Parts: sequence; C-alpha cells; structure tokens
Amino acid sequence: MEIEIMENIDDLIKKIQPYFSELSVGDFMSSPVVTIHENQTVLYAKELMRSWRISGLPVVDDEGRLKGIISIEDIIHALENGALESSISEKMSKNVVFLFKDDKIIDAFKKFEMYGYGRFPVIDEIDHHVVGIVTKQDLMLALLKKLSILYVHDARREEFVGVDIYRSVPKNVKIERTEFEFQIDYKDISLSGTGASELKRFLISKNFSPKFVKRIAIATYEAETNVVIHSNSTGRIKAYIEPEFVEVRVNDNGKGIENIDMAMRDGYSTAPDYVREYGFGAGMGLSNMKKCADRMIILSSKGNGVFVEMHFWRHEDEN
Amino acid sequence: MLLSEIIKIIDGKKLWDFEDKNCDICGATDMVSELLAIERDDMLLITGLTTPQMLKAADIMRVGAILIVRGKEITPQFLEMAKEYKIPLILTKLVMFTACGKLFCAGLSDVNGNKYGN
Repeated sequence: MEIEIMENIDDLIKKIQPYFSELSVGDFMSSPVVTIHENQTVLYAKELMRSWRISGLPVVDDEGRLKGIISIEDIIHALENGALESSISEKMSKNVVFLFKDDKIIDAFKKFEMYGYGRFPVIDEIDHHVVGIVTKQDLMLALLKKLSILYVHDARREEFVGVDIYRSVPKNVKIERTEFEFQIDYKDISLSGTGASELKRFLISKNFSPKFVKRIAIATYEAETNVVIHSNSTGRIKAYIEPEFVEVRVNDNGKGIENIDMAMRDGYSTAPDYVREYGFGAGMGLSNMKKCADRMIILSSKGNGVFVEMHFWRHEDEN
Repeated sequence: MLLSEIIKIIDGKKLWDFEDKNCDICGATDMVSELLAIERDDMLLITGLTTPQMLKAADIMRVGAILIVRGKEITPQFLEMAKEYKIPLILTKLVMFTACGKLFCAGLSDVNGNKYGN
C-alpha cells in the first residue's frame, strides 16, 4: 500500500514540478533535525529512532558536520551481528548523498528518483553543518502548501493529508466520461445558479433522491457563484455520476485564491460591494460547500484560477 | 399552518394561482448564502430579495413558499420561474420585521424549532 502511494507521489511531483521551480530545499526541509554523534553506539541510535519514530539519522562530528547516515537497515544488520555496542562510525553508510540548503526542489526530486532513498540530510553550503532533512513527505507537503491545496472532511485521513488529494489529482487528467457539463457565464450575475439548478434537474432525472441532490446542488450553487463573483473569467461545471456517488468539479481561469485559510472562515468575504445587492458576499460559500460535500479539494494559487472538486457519497438516509 | 391562513395574517396576496399547503417553519433572510446554509425543507422563506439567484437558491433548497416583504415588485420572469419551480409566491406590504413578528406570534417556528411561548 505504502509503495503504491509513493509511486503516485512521484507521478504527481513530475506533473506539477515546473510550477514550483523556485522553491529551495531550505524552504521545506524538516528543521531542526535529530542527529547523532559518530562516537555514539548503535544501541543509542536505535533508542533515538524509536523515541522520535524516525527511520534514519544523519551522523555528525563534533562540529556538527555530516559524516554519514544510519538507517533502520544498518541497525538490523548490527542486531544480526550482535554489534549493538559498536560505534556508529563503524556501522553507518559513509557515502551519504545529501542536499544543499539552496538546492532547488528539482534537485531534491532528482535525488529521490536517482537513489531511491527515503531521506536526504540537508547541509549548509558554507560551514557544511547539518541543518535539516528532507523526506518524500516533506517534498509532498511543500508542493501541497504551495498549491494551496485544501483538504477537508474525512478527518481520519488528516495525518496522511496528501494521499487522497494525490489520488484525485492525476485522475483529473484521465477521466473522460463527463455526464454533466455546464459553461459558467461570468458576465451576467443574474444567471448565477443556473448551472446548479440544471445539475439538480439532471440528477433528479437520474433518480437520485431529492435529499442527496439538495446537498450536491447547494455546494454546486456556492461554487458556481464563486466563479461568477470572484474569478472574472469563464468557468465550467462538470459532474460524474455513479449509483452511490457523485463527483462535481468546478473550475475557472481567473485570479485564484490568495489565502485559502482566510477564505475558509465564516463571514470572511472578498466579494465586491455590488454583489451584496444580489444577496451574495456573506462569506459563507466555502464553508457551506465544505459542510455539504463529503470531501472537498481546492487547488488554487494567485493568478492560476481555482479548481474545486467535491465528492458526495449517498448517505443511508438519502435513499 | 396553511398558506391561506398566513396570507390573512400578513395581509398578503397570492402572486400566482398555487395550491394551498402547509408551512410551519419560517426563515427570513436577504442573503443567498444564508438561505443555502439552512437545512430545512419546505420552509416559508421571508425575503425582500427578488433576484433570480434567490429563486434558484430557493428551488435548490426546496423552500415551501416565498413571502416577499416591503411590497417589492417582481419581474414577469421571476414570476414565470416561480411557476416553473412550483414555488408559491406571496406578497405583503409589511416590512420584514413586522411580517416576521406577526407570523411568530401566530405560532410559526424558526428553523431551529423555536416558537412563541417557549
């Protein structure tokens, strides 16, 4: 399972790499990093890894300079040979591959690809001190943060925030069976809601229950309104249906959301005043979408439009 | 409470020839997003906002009927759309506050079930 996820991550990173070319390793490494002195014993390294729940440690000298790296595998070998009391410097991998703090994200990505290691220590260019460590998870979280990917609902998965987003991102490229499609006309605010209204009728015609449809239509209405009010660009609503599941995607080519955390707050609105006359701009749109959808993913950054994907599973009481 | 009784209480008029039906819960708002955040079906929506978006939202929310306050005029398109959505429309000259007050005192409840007297 984990291997499968990792492969997906590689895939994603490749696809969206150009977007992040300016990010350097120092921006997303984990720091400070747990290190171990070369004179310590393997046993000590084992305890350190256990208490920090990590699977590898950079080994340093008195000056904090990188000398090697010791991983779980090295410790297992030492265990097999009854060498837990040996010093780290004997058992560590000496040909350690590292990253510089000022390396770009693409360098990190290449090293992950080339060596297949799970982590790379990061050192400072000038004094060669170990200043951090980069794992695939750091890399992924950096990408997610940069994209302002927001993942809500299904709190059980929060720890693995990337996984589901991840799965759904490449899928965007692949899926071709659109069952419902609507072009959003951003120039006429009075037409706002038309797409949601049509989607509602479409879903009812497919025999989904009114209660289920209502939830979907509300979230779609909010997303559609956001395109009309905020994007100043064209947009599109697409929906895919399965007997127990509906996926709605709303995207635009507009100016994007600058601060997604702020935007998620109730009552926070960047809507222009004139739209208030139409009853919009209460600042409840995104949080209402979150409430209605079982899962919601927002991809946006300044100048790159907004992509919203919402998943709805039919609940037991929605027959 | 039947819509016909509600009409008497707020001195309203029917804007099209809909069938009488029951409505016991009221929600009052001029904000579309606020309407969209209400979970109840079949409520009486009291509003002064007569935009097509409000009507579309009302349709999506499965609102039972709309009471328009302040004697606000509606466009023929609004009326046609309401008929198409089968949403009863009632108009009153009362302001929102008074319309709400009268209906509350007459025993209608809010969306959280709060009623006059308890």
